[in-house]
Amino acid sequence: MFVSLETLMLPVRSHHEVRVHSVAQTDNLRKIIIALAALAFVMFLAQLALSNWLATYGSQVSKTHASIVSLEQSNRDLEKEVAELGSLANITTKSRQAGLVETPNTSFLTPLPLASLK
Amino acid sequence: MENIDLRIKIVGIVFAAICLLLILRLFSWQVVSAEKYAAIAERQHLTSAQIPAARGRILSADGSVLAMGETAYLVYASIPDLKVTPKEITNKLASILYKYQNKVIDKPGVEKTDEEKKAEAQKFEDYKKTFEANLSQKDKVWISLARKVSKSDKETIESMKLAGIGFTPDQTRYYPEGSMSAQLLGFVGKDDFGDDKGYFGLEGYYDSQLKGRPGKIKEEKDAFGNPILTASYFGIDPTDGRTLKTTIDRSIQYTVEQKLALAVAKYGAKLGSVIVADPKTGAILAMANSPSYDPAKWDSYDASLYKNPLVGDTYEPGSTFKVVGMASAIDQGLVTPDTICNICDGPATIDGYTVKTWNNQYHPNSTMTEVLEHSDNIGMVFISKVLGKDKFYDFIKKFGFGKSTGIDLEGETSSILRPVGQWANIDLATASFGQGLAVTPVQMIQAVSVIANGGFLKQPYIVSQIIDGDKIIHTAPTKSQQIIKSETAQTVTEMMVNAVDKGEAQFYKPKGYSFAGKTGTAQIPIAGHYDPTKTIASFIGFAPAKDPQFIMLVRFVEPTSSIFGSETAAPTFFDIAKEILAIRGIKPQ
Repeated sequence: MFVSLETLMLPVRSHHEVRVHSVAQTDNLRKIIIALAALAFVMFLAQLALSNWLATYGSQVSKTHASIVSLEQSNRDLEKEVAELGSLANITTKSRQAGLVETPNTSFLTPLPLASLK
Repeated sequence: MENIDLRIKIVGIVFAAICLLLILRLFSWQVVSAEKYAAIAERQHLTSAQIPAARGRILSADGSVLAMGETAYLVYASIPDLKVTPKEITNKLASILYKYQNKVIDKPGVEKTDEEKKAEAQKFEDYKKTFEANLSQKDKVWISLARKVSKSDKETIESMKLAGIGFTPDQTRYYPEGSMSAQLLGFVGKDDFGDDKGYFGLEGYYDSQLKGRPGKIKEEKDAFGNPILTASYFGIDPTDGRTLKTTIDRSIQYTVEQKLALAVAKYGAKLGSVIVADPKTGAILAMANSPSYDPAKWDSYDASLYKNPLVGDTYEPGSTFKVVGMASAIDQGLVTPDTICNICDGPATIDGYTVKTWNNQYHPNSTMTEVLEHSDNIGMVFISKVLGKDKFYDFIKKFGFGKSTGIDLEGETSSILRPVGQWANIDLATASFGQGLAVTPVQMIQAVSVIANGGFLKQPYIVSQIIDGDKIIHTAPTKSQQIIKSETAQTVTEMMVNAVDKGEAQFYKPKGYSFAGKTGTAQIPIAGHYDPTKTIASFIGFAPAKDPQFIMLVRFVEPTSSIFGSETAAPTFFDIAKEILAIRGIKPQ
């Protein structure tokens, strides 16, 4: 198969054309570098802020954990108090102080017959 | 110019030498001793701690707490951080912490003698010396001062603001009802590794369920001790112990303990025991012994008190055992309540031994009903002859004797029944009236429950549910085995009602109620013979006879006011029974 020489030839640019293109490329590159530098700076600041936040948040976690332990202990103390107040030994003492006495005999009352209307 | 070159060379050599030294030092740190320093660094910022699991609670049948965990603290001293002298700290803390090392039980109303007071003061002085000596150990970094310290004492110590004195959260066991049901609950002590461990009773039997599983945490911390969130973290949450719901009726238990303590004092007994159960299910409603101990101060009491005699002691049951022999003979159709005893006119002679009645009075031609009514030993010898060794032996095994009942309490024991081939005629005769064989109180309750429960044997138990968060595991045994015919159970019940109504205990019975019961007075074997002055007095019975709601055994070891069960155990039985009838709302028939 025959291919013409023109189709294989690259476009020929003038020296001036190449120079203009190179300046434009350099501008783009500079912009990218500035943008990347700005991004890196922002990332650096973000990392700084995050590290700082995480470092202080550790103490928050400690405080929360201490609160959990404290609440669990308070809960246990309250449960103990309820059990103590509800103990039969305590009820007996309190009822004696209130003047209640033990019954020597228990009597069951027989239900009275109800009057019926006819 | 040459001079300047020389100087530059010298500076260069010195600089190179310093650089070389630095490189060598760095090589030593980073390569030669790298592992050692990495480990030191890890120890400084990596912390590992065990998170204790809360021990499970023990509840009564109505959900009230019988045992639970209570906040406590371990008090320690960080020696390098102490800012005041050991003497000063000792003077401030020893008086507060002394009670945690030396638990002294003050008996209410009992004044201490001068000698006792002197000994106590000397003990405290010795404690103070040891306390100060411990704080003065400069080679130590950390020392424990006291364990299981209460919250109020911790707050008192905290208010003193002593630098170097710190606290670690811990737990101790709290029993809201004090010493109530001590031998039933058991107590929590320490194992070989210093961890909490349950001993005796429910605490011992269900220790693996109650103790839970401790958690673990491993994390990196910063210089202030706060966790580093971006660093490595490893943690397992603790699993708290399971809660046990028992069948114990708190009101009955309390009443039983109060009445029993009074009765032991009244009758001058060495030991008193009561067990109350539901004969239809085998559920134990109350279990008490006197004397007892306080499970919170268990280490201040004699170790002999830890064991629960109701499951751990064997004794000769005496006449209460007669109902077992009678039920066996009736069930086999060998006798009826009206069968006449043709040997009841005097003592019986067997293998050269003479068997007499408890009061040496004889009732010729007694019926079987009258044999139980009079608690006639000769009548039971008649029964044993009718039954024979093999049948009698088979029946006592069927009733659950000779093996443990399987009750869920630590320390259950059981006597071994001698093989029937080794039984002489006299062994059969004495066994028929409850002498010469040993049983535990809980075995007696199980056996007589067969009569109260229409002939069915139920396994006694205490824990009905194990609660694990939202999950409830029902643990009550459901098996039941028919031992005797229901008609036999009915007949023996009627004979036991007659024994109460016409026997020695009739005067104590509350009016309007039908009780089935039997007294027992067994002599105690000492050095190969029976001591006539030392007995075990007991009474076993159930009510209401037609529809039993509870069965109870009262037992006194060596009562001194009277040796007979009818004069000690029977009055106590009915005294407690009156209260149970009221608590359970059982009306007179």
